[in-house]
Amino acid sequence: MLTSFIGLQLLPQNFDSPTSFGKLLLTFALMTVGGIIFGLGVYRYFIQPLSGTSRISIVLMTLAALFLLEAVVDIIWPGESGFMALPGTSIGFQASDTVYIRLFDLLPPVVGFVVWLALLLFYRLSRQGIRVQAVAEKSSLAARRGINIDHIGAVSWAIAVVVGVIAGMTIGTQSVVSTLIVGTALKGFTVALVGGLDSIEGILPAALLIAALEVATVRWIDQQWSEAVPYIVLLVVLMIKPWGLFGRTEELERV
Amino acid sequence: MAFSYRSPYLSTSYQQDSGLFAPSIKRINFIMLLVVFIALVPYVSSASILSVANFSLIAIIGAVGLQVVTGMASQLSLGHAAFMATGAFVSTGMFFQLNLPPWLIIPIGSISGMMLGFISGIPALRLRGFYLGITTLALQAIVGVACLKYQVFLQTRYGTTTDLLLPQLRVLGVTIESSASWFFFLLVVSGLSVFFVKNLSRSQFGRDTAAMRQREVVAESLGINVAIVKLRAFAIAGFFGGLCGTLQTFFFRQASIEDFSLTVSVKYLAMIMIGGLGVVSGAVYGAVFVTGTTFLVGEIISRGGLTETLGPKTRGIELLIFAMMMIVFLIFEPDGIAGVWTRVKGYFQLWPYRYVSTTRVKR
Repeated sequence: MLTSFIGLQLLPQNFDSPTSFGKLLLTFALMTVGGIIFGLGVYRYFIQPLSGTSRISIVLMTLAALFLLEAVVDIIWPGESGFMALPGTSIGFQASDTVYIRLFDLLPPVVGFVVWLALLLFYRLSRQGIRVQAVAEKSSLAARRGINIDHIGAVSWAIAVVVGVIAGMTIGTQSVVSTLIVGTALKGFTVALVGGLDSIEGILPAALLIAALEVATVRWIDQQWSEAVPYIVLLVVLMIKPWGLFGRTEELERV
Repeated sequence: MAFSYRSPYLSTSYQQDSGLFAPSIKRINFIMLLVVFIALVPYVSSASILSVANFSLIAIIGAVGLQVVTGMASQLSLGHAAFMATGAFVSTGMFFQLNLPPWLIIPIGSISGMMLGFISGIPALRLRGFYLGITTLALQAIVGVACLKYQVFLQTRYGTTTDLLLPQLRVLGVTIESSASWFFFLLVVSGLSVFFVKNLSRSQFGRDTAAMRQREVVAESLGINVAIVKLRAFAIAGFFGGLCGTLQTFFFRQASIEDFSLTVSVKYLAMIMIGGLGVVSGAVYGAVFVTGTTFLVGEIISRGGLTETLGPKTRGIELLIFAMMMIVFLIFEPDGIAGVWTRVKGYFQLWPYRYVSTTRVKR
């Protein structure tokens, strides 16, 4: 599971194409397919050759891949940024006298929830998901019981990239798309750790907690400090519960 | 008997075997040649090469520090730039707010980095492995924001850009002003740093980290207090990070938070990885290699008349080449330049025979 979360960090780069998205569905399908291929490629060419080496190498590799993507994006679209135009920008309803909610603003929570639920169901119920759990528990043992670790690794990378693409597109509807998205991606890291690395259920409360604190900081303290809030939460949580809020205790040894 | 030939690689006592430098006429000759060569650098090289040499020397200090924590103790540290930023901003603050003399500021800056290193090592008491690495990332983010705030504060109080310049550094009554004098000063400081860390690797602490790197649980059961060793490793890394940041600030005569981003942390990680993880000399090779390559890219673009087409994309291209280097080394040469060096040396030493040792670099 670690791989998928590291994967999460490098993905949003993928769709940094500031063109107008006319045919939304087609683009979405293309992005998803592209994401799958990209995820498989990353696993096959970057991660798999490193199997058996130290975890530091693997983390470094994902960071290198992140910079590679950032560089490619920077070279192809230097200094560009843009919004993703989606239909529904102007449709909305009046929630109260002062609050006007656009359909568009409802998208991220809905998408986030659907993706979270889908991942949870996949992880818990499907055969593949259970295999992923087994590999995460102890990959050598899983391999001995007849699970194809490479296959699982590739699948989890593909899923991670696709989820990242979705996350990136959703962010793109809310804010300017640029290489600065990396910051958001790193935030995903803290959410995963606060929730507990092996626990998909933990992601939702952790994300809500961090987001709430962040917004509260922007509102009452200071905008710049809000950048640091997820990390402060992370430090506090990890010092009290090193395995995250919803992680299992014995998982700590694992990486 | 007097003419009997003894192999320069044969140690006859334990002391000799664990010596810092193997006593060999060849090696002494080589070192003397190297010293002469290095001493000549400022006089024969152009200004741009000299500045790259200076950058490399600064980078070496930071890289050996990271080598202690990530290479020797095998603790992933994604927050090395945070130590550097602390050193840089503490020294700037010391000068502007307390008016301390520069010779006092450098140790204070380094020690502030060390204290931060100690603090960032505290999670090691609870966490290990990947989790610990992420707490250093957290540190990077928090220190980044704090330094940004401080920078803004300094700017509003003392004015922007030119008013915030630090004075020229004076050491032992000599003002360090020209690139050549910086070169010699940095050479001494980074030489001492490398020497210190090299020596550290064969001390009690070095052996503790070696045991811990293999398997923490076993190290703990052998009576090594793993948490304390980690704390010390982080503190030492913080010290060198702080020193590096302080010197860099005096070199640029200004501290700017953009110079201490996450990219910088990863760059230092890449340096020690490309040079050879855990090998002290690897930090030196890596620092020179990474700094040199970045410079080379810029130079090729400007010399080759590509400024028109590629100029605005220089940053992207630099990043691309940097990332490619990391990937290539990770996949094809995990032992880094130090590993290549050992192999090449082995090949020539054993020349007529094709046996090349398969053992990895001694870490």
